[in-house]
Amino acid sequence: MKNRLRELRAAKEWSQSDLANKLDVSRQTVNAIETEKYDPSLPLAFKVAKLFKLKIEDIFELDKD
Amino acid sequence: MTRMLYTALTMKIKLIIGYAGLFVCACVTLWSLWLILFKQPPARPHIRKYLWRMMLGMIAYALGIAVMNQLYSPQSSYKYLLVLLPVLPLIFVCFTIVRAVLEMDEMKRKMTTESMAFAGLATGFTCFSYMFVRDAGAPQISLAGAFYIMWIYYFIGFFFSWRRYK
Repeated sequence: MKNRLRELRAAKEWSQSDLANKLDVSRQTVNAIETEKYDPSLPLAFKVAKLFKLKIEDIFELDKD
Repeated sequence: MTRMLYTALTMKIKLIIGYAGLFVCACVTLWSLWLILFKQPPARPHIRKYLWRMMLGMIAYALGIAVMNQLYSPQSSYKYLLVLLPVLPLIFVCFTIVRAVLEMDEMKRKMTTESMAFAGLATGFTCFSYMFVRDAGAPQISLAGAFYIMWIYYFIGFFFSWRRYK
């Protein structure tokens, strides 16, 4: 699954640790989501969307293949 | 002869379950205590709760071993119940570990669950395969070996999970 998390985080000038603290997850989780090695759970995706005041589909996009 | 065998068995139970168990208890308890008291930044509340529960479970396990070693007698009618006494706190420890896994950060939970699944299946298949090898004449290995093999598989599984998500 593709996502814009790194771009959104950079726009806010937050470090991975800052974002991890706001989402109550580990920094490794944020890094794995940003590098698209790990797909977040639905509750976490909702948390991310709420934090950036966007819709889930504006942040996460399903791979076409 | 039978009495000698019983005595040898008792000594073996005391040595294996007693000292190895107490060593594990002491390690887990001291490590938990160190994490609660000295870890910087301090552990999160749910982790502290988990560590307290683990300490409680380990202390109860150690007490169970101590009571078993004091009261065990090969002639007593309740010897099997007594040998199982330290197992009761381990049930509590199992629930504590499962609860801790459920409360983990979601990616760590996934890595841990994958490693546990791998360790469980690989240990099962190893034990099953060993039965054929043993029947073919290989030397008898203690059942306790399965526990150590499970941990080895767990760390192998965790290593591959960690590499996948790092």
